[in-house]
Amino acid sequence: MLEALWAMVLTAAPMLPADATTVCAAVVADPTGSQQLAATLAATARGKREARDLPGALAAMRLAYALQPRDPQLGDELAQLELAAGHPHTAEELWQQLVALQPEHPAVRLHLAELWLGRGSPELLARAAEILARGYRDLPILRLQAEIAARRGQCTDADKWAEAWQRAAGRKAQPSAVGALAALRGDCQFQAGAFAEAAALFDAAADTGADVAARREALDQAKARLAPPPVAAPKGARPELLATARTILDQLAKGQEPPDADLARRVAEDPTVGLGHAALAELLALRKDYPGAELRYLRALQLGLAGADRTRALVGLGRLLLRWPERPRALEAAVVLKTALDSAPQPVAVQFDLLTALRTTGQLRAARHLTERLLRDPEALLPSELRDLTATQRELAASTRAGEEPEPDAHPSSDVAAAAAQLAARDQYRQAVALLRAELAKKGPRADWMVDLASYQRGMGDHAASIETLQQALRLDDTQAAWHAKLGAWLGQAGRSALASKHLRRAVALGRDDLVPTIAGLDAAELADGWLLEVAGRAEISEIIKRMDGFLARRALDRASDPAQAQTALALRLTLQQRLDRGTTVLACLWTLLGAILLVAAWRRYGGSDLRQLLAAHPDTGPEVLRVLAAVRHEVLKHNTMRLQQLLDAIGRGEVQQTTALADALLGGAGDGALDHLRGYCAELTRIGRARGVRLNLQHRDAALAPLFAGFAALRAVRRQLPRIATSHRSRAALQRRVRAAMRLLNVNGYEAVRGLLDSLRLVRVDAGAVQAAFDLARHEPTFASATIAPLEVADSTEVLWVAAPRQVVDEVLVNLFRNALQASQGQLPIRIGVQIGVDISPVTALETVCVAVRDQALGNLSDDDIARRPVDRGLGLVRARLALYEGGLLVRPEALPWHKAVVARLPRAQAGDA
Amino acid sequence: MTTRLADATVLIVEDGDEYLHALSQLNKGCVWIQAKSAEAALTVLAVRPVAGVVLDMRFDRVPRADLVGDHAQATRECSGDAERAWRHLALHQGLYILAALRQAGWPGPVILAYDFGRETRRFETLQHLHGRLDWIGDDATADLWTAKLCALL
Repeated sequence: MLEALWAMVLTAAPMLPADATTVCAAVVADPTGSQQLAATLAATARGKREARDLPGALAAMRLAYALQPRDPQLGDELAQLELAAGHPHTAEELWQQLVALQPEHPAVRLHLAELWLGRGSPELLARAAEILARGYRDLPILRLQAEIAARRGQCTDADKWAEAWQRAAGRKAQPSAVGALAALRGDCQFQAGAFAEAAALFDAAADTGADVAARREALDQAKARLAPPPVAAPKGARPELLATARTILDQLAKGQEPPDADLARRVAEDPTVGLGHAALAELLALRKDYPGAELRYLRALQLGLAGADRTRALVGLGRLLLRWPERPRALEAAVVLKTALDSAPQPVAVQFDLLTALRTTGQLRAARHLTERLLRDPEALLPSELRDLTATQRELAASTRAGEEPEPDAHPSSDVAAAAAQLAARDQYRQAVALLRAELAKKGPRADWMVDLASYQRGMGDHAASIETLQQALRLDDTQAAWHAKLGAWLGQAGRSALASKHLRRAVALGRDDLVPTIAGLDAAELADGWLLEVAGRAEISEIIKRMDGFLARRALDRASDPAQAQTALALRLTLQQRLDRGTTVLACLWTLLGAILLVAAWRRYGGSDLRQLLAAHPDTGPEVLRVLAAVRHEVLKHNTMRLQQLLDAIGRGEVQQTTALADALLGGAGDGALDHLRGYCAELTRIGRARGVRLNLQHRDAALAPLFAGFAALRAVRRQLPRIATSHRSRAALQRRVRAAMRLLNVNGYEAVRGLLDSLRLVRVDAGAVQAAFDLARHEPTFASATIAPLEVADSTEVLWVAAPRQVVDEVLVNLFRNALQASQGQLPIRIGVQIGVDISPVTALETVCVAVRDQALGNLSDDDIARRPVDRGLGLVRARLALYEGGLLVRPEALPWHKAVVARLPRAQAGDA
Repeated sequence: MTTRLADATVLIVEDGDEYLHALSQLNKGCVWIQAKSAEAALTVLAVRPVAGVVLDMRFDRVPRADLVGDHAQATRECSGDAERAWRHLALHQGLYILAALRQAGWPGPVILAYDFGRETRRFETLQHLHGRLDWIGDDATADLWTAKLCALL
């Protein structure tokens, strides 16, 4: 049977393993035989390979592996032969199968890693590093790890593995291999910008005989580009150009627009002055000539600048590149700004620019380090900068941590995700993002990759893209609480509170109870802050507090919960409670204010005094009130009765034009209507009251005037209906009823009320008793204590006389008249004073005037003019003023003997019940 | 009575136009003439027969020069207050005009547009002084006006 098999093998050299498997099926049932046969075939294959019979070796090894498919050694040898025969994909597939079967087999891992290293793609390098790290590391693996790390830009890892390899290999380490590895590590450092370390490694490589000349040259060129070149002495430079450039730079530093000093021409005339180029670069940058500014910056740096000028030029160039229109050159900007920052301490703004450049280019670890460094000196930052930087630090920490260690509830890893994570670990987030995007485009959407992608985008500061990506991931898989929580947090930071709250609620529904306070905080933030607005949000705040109480109760029962979280929730609840209390207080204040407003309005409408109250409190207003009320009765009411009757008749006839004219004449509006007159008189009364500190409410409170206003209001309502009377008899009848009602108010209620008020004003009876009482008051004054005064001689009237004046005014007048007479009669013994009370009737007006003539015997020439000139604050001057208030007067007349003269007080006579 | 009124010429003496407008609505056949001062009234009475006079009491909308009455006497009675004296003349100008009409010899009937309801004694005095005289109050209706006019004329 073996012979037959050999025959087949020899004749079927290029057969595929599957065919060989079929051929060998017969011996599978015999494990020992199969093993022996496989060993024989493997030995044959090795012999053929040494004899450079690659096809034969390959065929034999395929058969051997077919017989023993679980033998990693045979599989590894077969894969090597496949590779050597030009079948790399077959070899790769075989090695991958072997790695799956024997994950820790060193040779298999080594060879597969070497294969992937040869291909050089970042993804395969990452996968190679990953399988090498799985198990035991022998010397080749250590060395290969170092090489892969160096090629991936992980210089620190490369150094670590290289040192481990050299330490383990000792003298066995081949100098050439050491040199090659040193050269690769130097490349790594060179690419990382660590020129000094790169130079040292290139030197080490050269020591082993490696050819690193080209590398050194490239390094020198790079150093020459960025290192501060020696400052050339400005031999040819014109001092004026230097001075001009310095002036321009100083002015620009102060934020001033420098004058046009024709700098471009002068720099062109003397292009060896670096400072001139630097100043010109800043001017061009100011004018947004980006290419021109870049060229000048580079020339300035090439020509050489002194320390501060060079740093300023580097900063200017970096910021120019970072703000390059349409497509910012962030990678170059990051290098340049980092060089500037390494040269000298830079303002915070420059460091923020570097931070932006680093984030944009996916150098998140470097960005994180820079952030942490900035945060170490918080006093140098503005509050807004500190806030932004803290948020950035959190994002960077989250993104870079994601690259270092998987989250506890993270999705299962994958090769692509691992490769991306490896790139992130090398601070190559941009490449990680590109890798994930390419794979997503190639293989279709995958939620876990999208979540990684979103995290990297977030770290790079592309917040909108990160949110969009995570939303896409959640559309594919809506069951991940962590993703919802993350998206909720991001949306909350973006100010999209409603959507954030929605995702956070979903996360809570999926088990993240710890997010309840976060949702509450967002909901509370959604409610507008402010004293008045919090009144409207009281119900919402109460609902949030209720949720917080539930959360705190659950936390209290859960002993494993984080106390700090409960504290935070408690603080939030307290804040909400304060807002609720504040809203309640404001609401109470508003109600109080509303109540006060209503009270004031009610007081203004129904409060105040009426005329009777005014007269009772200030009797001196009587004459003025009387005068105005008389005018009201005369001017307002005298024409109305007839007009109202005419209006009534005209309505009955349906005469629109006439009724309208009559109503307008009553209501006025132009100042000449009856209502206008009433308003004018009421304004006069209001002024009289205000002068005494009394607020009159005539329209609503006064029994006399309120009916008049009500009557006119009823007329106004009628006026609006008048245009319709021509068409409807019923409406005419209705309007007539309303006019009659208005007539009742005006001509019955109002008129009688006015008359009643006039009647009710106090009248004073002037008789012998009144004058005697006044005389007694005067004579008992201390001034006349020593005088001998005869009894008052009274000549009373036969009629009962009343005057329309307050009692105290009449008394005051009489007392003053008697006092004046007594004073004038001082020295007489005894003093005789008489009084005559009578009535004077005007022959024209028939007005009756009550005259009280106080007679005396004093000699002297008192005249009317003397009285008119007396001051009004005392004596006869006061009497004259008082009488004038009540339409009265004071005059002097000679008297028959035994009297000499009489001073006569005149007051209009009033009938009892008359005004 | 209405017929008599319809044929009559009535002089209205007032400082505004209210009575003229109101009374013009009263009877279309009656001739209403208006004067706004004593002098104008006397002129009318001198040139045409007038059946009666309707006399307003208060004349506070005419120039002071048109007011009649002894301002000096009024000033004395007002303790030398000339302004008050002018006001007195204006407020009672109807009666001063009436006195002027009587002094000029016109004996015709006069209706005073003033409420003497509470001043009956004063009105009686006025009637005693000025002859045919009646008054009509502020609350008079058209019918009352007609009745008063007819009765007096």
